[in-house]
Amino acid sequence: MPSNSEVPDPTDWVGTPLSSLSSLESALQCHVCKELFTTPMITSCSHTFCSLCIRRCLSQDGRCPACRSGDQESKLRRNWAMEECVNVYEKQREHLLKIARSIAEGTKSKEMDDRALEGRPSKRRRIQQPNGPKVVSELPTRSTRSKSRMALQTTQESERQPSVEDSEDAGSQYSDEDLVSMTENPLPEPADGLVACPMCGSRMKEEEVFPHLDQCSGELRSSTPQKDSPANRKQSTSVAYSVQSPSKARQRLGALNYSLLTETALRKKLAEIGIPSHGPKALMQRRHMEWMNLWNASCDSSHPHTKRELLRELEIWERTQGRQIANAQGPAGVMAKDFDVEGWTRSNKDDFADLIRKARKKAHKRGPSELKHEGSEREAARKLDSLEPVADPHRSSNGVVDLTSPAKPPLEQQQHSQGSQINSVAA
Amino acid sequence: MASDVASKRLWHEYRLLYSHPPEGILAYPIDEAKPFVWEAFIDGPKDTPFEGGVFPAILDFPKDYPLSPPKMKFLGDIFHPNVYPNGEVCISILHPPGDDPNHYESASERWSPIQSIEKILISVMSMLAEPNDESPANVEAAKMWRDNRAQFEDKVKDGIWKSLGLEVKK
Ligand SMILES: [Zn+2]
Ligand SMILES: [Zn+2]
Ligand SMILES: [Zn+2]
Repeated sequence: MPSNSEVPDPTDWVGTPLSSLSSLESALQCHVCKELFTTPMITSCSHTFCSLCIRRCLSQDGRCPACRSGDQESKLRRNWAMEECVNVYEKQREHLLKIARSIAEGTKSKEMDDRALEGRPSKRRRIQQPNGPKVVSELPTRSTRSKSRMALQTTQESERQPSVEDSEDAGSQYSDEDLVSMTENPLPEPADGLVACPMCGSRMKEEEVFPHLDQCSGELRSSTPQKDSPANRKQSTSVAYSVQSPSKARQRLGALNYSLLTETALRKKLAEIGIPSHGPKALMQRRHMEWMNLWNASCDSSHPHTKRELLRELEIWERTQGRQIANAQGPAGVMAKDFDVEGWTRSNKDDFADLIRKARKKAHKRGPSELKHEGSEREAARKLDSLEPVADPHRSSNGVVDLTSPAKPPLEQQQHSQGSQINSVAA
Repeated sequence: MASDVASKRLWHEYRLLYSHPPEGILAYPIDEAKPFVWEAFIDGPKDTPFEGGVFPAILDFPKDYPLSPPKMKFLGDIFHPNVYPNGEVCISILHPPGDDPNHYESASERWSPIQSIEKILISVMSMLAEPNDESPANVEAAKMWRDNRAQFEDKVKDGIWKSLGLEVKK
């Protein structure tokens, strides 16, 4: 599975009670870079992209990537409303995600504890299932499966999640109060009879929460334990309408007509601007284009980068695309040099089943399942099959991914059935 | 994870494909540290001669992805009008709008930075179901598909069985 990463992604919400925020977050993303909009600009055809993204697209082929109508950089306009949406969303994201994950985790640990009680006559009252956020419809009998399925969803929570084996032993140690507070209120809370506002954390009577939410700024109270929340760290800098006039301090760079410039003249031009001026003309031309896009996008930004920062970004470009341009004087259609496709094809061509097995293993390897504590290898392999992470997303009608219903039969099984079919045909 | 645009975007696509895999499609970077080469598996579409086959392919991404499209190459033998004998896939979504090697594609079918790996693989899957015999990549396959459909289907099925390591007794 995709390894842990701090990079925010809409799929972070999957498996939490706020899974619908996944589509909200996608709507706040630029379709070119798949990140939240940075300095959103609106095109003549009313499509919105990050300033840098749309500038790169336009300098490549002069068309809007969404509808392909022709456009020019000079016609781009700031999309202030979108920028404000993104700023507000970004400010709340970490906090909301923390809440969503702790609720999801609370639901899970409650289910585990419920399970731990099964089959044991117990005087304790069973905790009622909440009607609301239901993440896992049912805890499967195999603990490994549930663990890895869960971990597929969120990367952080899997680290904190206790194993079922542990909770089975520990389950009896929790009192009812512990269970209630664990599941319904995962953050430590003083027993003052008050409840915390989910936005700002201030404590108040339960009936006051909804009226308060209407006015709540979301600023966290310093007395609450969530000091490290993003809302506290970043000062609230909404896109004030006063910052709306684009910064005039810096002049945007104009396009050069490269065909009219000799190699020497272009080299001189790059040196004048203060960017690297080595390499063949084709490379210098692309470097200048990238610099122009970086520079002008920074001019659009409410928080323009310094020239030094921009030079660092140009260096990243140089190491990736620049190098490819420098090397790729060969014909198009050549596969990456750092991967021996022919060799790989040759060595695998005749062993298709092996290929699929490898792929599946690879897919599993990146899965989070820890099979260390499992019994025989055979048993582990059997579990891998039942873990098939690439099968249909079992989406229930409400859009929540059901992680527990049986997956589509893994490729190998499909093959077997195909095989037997063929055998009967052949016989 | 690298900080360049292409790596980041590939990462986001990977996250999405992983959590919401389209039916019959599996795709992931061969090495997460080098996200520019992906491996993909496409199930042969139902009710076509390709049904029952699973077709492995390599996707090779340029460093300026998503401005430019990746290249896609099937690894096994696949007999299809739009796949070169060396496995390279020839389909309009993999061609940048600027060049049109086939001179028939409309710009709207071709690559744009808002297309995605998922859309490519879904297009390739429907290409398996519905070959396009205009300016084919595999002339023999295109001719057979047009003139002798039964023979074409037999040949495709033979290829699938062979790929599964099974000999067909005639
Ligand atoms: Zn963007
Ligand atoms: Zn447009
Ligand atoms: Zn206005």
